[in-house]
Amino acid sequence: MKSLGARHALASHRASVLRVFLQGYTVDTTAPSTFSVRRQLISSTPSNQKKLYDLEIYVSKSLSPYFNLSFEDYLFKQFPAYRSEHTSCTELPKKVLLLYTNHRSVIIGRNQNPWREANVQSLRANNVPIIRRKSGGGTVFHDEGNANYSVMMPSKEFDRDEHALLLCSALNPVLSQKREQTLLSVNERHDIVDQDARKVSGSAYKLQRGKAYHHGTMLLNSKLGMLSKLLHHSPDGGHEEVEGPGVQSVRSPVSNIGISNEQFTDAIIHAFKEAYTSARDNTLKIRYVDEDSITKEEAPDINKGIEELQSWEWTFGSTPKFLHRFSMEDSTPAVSFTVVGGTIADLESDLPEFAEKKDSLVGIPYRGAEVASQIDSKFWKQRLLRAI
Amino acid sequence: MSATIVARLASASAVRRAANVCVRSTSHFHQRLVLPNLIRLYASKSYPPHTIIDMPALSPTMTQGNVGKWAKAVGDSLSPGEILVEIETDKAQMDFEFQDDGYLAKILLEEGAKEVPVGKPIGVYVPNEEDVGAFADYTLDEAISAAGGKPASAPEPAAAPAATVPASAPAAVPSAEPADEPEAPAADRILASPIAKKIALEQGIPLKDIKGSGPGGRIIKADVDAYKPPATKAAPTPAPSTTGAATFEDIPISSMRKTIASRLTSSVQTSPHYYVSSTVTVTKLLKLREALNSTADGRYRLSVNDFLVKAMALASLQVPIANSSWLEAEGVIRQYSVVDVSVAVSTPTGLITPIVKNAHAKGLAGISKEVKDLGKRARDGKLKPDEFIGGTITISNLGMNSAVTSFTSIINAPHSTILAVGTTERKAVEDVDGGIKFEDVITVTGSFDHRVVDGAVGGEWIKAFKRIVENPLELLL
Repeated sequence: MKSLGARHALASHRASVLRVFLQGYTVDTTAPSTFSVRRQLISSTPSNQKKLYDLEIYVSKSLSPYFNLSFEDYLFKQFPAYRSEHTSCTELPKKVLLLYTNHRSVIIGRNQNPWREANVQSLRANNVPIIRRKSGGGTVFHDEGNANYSVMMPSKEFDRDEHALLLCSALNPVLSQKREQTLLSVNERHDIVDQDARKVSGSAYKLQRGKAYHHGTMLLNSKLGMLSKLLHHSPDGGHEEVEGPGVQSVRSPVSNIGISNEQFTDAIIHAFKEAYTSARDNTLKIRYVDEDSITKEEAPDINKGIEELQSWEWTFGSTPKFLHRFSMEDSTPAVSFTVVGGTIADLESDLPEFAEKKDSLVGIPYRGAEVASQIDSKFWKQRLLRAI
Repeated sequence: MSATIVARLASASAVRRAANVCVRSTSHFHQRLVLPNLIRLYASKSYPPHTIIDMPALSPTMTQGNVGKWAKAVGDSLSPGEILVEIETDKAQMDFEFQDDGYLAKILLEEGAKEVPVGKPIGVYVPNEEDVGAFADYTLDEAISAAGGKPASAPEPAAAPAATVPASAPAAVPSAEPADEPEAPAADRILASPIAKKIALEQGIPLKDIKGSGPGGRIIKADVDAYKPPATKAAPTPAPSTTGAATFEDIPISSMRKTIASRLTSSVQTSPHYYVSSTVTVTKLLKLREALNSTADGRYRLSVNDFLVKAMALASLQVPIANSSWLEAEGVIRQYSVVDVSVAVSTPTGLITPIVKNAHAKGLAGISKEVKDLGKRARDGKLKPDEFIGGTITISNLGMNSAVTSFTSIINAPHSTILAVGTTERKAVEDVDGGIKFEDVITVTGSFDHRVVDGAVGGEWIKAFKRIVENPLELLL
């Protein structure tokens, strides 16, 4: 027979789950622009009931994009796959929030072409790594002025806008305190934009059977000038063109929201706590992680993930077949490489320096150093070394 | 051209497989994945038993996707739960987990194929490993024509199948011809269910013209029903996409529409609405308006709506119960002592209600200016949230539409009252001395939330409103 205390605890837990919360989060959002549509979320469910979760929060203290993305992937692998439609009423579904910041890096989407998306030459010159993530979408520039958040949930709860709206409602009060006119809202592309329709956050998603995650960026104090230099192609004594499949990034004007990483972290954690946990629940624990604090059990998988993310095969080698055309300053075509699976499958050129070397070039990995070593012409050696 | 392939299923187990595929899925998420997947099972003269894999709808709102990396190669075995191919849609990366046993026989759309609509064939799998080789030249065209007589036309966007189509056109033709032959011997013995025979007899449809989709080519009721427009069905097949476009257009649901949908649905479902109508004489009001506008000198230009907003505000001060909110969670009915009137404005993207704050305290010119400014900014999409979130009462005016004599509105939660204003009509009424005079009247209909405003109270509010409008000098009080 259950003790009186246990029965009471169970009843009150049930009551807290079933209690009606008035508009757990009232989100006021607006983006006064002719092209974006205002999202106004007054109540998320008709019965005004707050959806409760077993919320887990992780904050990474590491700045390594490899560690952070690998840890995110690891958390996602550990996240239970909710396959049954009928989740138990006494067990709350899980929701995981991970916050992290990376040092300067360019992160491309799962199905993108790195040569098309980023200015490989600039990246190399500035020693900025390029990393392919596991979720879809476009290319983003990360630095320490950019905060990243990742929310994992059961797949049937997947909603592209829910957490973006929650972020807006959490940050708008903080921003208005600075007496700035910044008001965030979510636009039709599920991006978070400010009152001038400048993008402050982009999102990407991954769905698997039973679980899904939504992760996004938030420009706090990012060096936007660097962003432009690294993500936009600039001709270097000639033109370059990448032709082939792969998700194309949609460029938007961007802006920082101008709060500190601490303010951001606090605001988000507070908002998630308010929205997804019972007011009386004090058991929420936040785990701070980095390379040194992961457990022995976690380490092998995370390290394997780091290796995969760092590998050339994953980042560049897995790009689907494409054509990389190089032309001269006067736009006459110089050479075009057909690259399949990261190796040169074919090349076309009227220039003797390439036509002669065709046999030695076809079949080699499409890496700057290797391709350049096959070419005699100094000009082309330089150019290819920087562009590939 | 469409090769009519008689559905001659290899065995009863094949039928069971199709059924099993649907039954086995248990997750909510996965049900969406399998059921609209249109996994068809058929056998044709030239190809061994196989199943076509279509682009799945991996989320309820998905309409198209990009094909990513194929995790399996042709010839690989497939078991339930294994990832077959990655799909990307709208920034979401998804793994398509296949739910059946078999061997991948053909990849119809390679990695990189963009904007593949849900339902379009992307691959083929077979139950028997030895049949894999037979599909080396199988084309997207054949997959589509096998599905139901819609040969792939030029507009199909995917680059890969377009490349294979010209190459395999000669291959497609010979496979179509042998498939035609089985029809002749099948015609002399038509299998049909009793109900199908009955309906066909009643409709005057010759059974031999109907394709059977039941087991062994049996004609079932559904086939007879589907046969109804025979001639017209054949004609549009060469250009199926354009015919579809002529009969409807799919407008994606924007977030504004979603918001309107959820708010108004929840308002109607939560608050018990009741309606009170009144025909209000506005002759004096129109005269006053004219008089004020004539001496305006460009300072203002009053509209009837401005008067009504002010009248509503004053009526709400006199009957404050109608100017309240039902706040269940706080256990109170909040009775406001100020009147913030939300004015319904129609914008190209949808309906929005900017607020005229403290309408009870503002003058007509002030209200007029504010309504114009808010309306303009609403149409430009430049309203701040506190300019449209809030308010204590709403007005919805369709007076500019001369056809609308009266209408009812849905209460704008958490308000308790909304006034729907019709157009001005000219009515003949009895004069004091027995004659007839003409009056301008407007029919207003108030929707009230019965949780807060009882019937009699609603009537009182309307009475107060009517009194103010019919004697507009009461606006001075």
